[in-house]
Amino acid sequence: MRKRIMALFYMLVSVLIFLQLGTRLKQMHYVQASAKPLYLVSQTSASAATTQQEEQAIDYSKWSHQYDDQQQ
Amino acid sequence: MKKKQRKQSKQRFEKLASVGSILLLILAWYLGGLRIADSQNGLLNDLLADGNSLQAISAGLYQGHSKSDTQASEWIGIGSGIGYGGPMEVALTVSHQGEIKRVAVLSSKDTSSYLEKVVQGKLLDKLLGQNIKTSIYVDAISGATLSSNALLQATNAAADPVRKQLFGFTLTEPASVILNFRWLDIVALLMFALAVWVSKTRHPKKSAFNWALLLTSMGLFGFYSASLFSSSTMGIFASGAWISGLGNYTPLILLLLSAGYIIAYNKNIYCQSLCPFGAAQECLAKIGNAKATTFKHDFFIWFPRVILLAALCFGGYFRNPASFSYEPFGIMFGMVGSLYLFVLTVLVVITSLLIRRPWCRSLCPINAMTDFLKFNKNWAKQISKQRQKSRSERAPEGTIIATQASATNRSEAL
Repeated sequence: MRKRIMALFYMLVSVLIFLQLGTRLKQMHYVQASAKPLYLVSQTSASAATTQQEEQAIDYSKWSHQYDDQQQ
Repeated sequence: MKKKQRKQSKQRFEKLASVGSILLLILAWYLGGLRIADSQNGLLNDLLADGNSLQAISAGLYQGHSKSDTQASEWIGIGSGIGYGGPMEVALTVSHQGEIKRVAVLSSKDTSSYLEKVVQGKLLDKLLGQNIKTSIYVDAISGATLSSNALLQATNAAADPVRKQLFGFTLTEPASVILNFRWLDIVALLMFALAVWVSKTRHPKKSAFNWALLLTSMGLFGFYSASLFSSSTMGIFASGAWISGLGNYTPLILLLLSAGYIIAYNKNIYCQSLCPFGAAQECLAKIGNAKATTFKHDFFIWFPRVILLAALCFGGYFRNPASFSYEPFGIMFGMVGSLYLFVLTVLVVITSLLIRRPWCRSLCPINAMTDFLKFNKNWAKQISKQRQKSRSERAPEGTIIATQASATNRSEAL
């Protein structure tokens, strides 16, 4: 029984190691082929994120104008 | 007769495999060097935020021009910091006013999972908008302190040439390699000395001493610092990445001490008394009352060796041995690693309750390293013995008799 468990363990662990090494190989090969930095962040993308947040934020001034119009 | 022939052919195959593996490692390292020269050229153009053309000013400093304007619109500085597996290279794009507009990690020898944790923790984003007139600082990401510190060190080093050009001063001093030595390195030396003593003592409480060592090691080198040595440490040592400095020397110290002891005494005391992962498996085995099981077929001896060689070759080729680490240590002691390694760790934990030290008995790379060192030591010993024998055979008979006589006189005098 113990031998069987060990055999199953060996098989599963081998598959996982192959997947791990294969994934890393693919990642590293992609980085090499693209000739691009590993990670890149720029202010333009950061400010784009900020703009999106501003757009999604509730515009209280617009609401207050609408409320004033309704009151009139 | 057949047995002898089989033994001889097996030995010949092992010798061939030993030499072949060394040659393969050298070839991977050499080809990796050619790859770096090819891919470096196009890398810097991605760093231009506004400028259209790039001009090298000095080492680590570039100037970006827009085609319509002759004045420099932005500056690019390149610097490096020391991470877990060696130097990490960072490039900064800085505006004419000294504001950081773009940050790029050009190369790293750290484990990918740790670097990913730093990026996901938004450390790079926090650098954007900072002015290089003052020293750049952001809080390190917990659980990836070495990678965070390396990134910050590299960022400050990259800002320096631009600072010098724009404002006429620098803020960063060249980092000393000695500064990276920590108290844990001295503890590693002491623990190894204790492990040697425990392996040699005939004290009735030898087993209790060994348990105390294993548990202390699990706490210190495992859960506290995750400083146990792995295939990546072997890769870092083999590729020479440690020459330019390391963020953590403890794994390398443990590796060198263990390898040295194996070469000197043919005994691996690291696995027996110091391995934190071995200690964790032993604890689980105690809980589950597990017993040992091993496979004796040649396949199970050669398979882990092939995997280790492949990981080392990939690491050498891509100049990043830490990225090809395949052990469950990172997940076990720091919850850092890929999904595959997470599943692998869970499997090892469950199996450890039923079988004693399943990882050590199956695919742990330290076994392959031990076998390699032992085999080559014995081979070298065999060669020197053969040489001595052939020398004594070549020497004239009178000389041998004279030598024997002098040896007898010496023993009598003693």
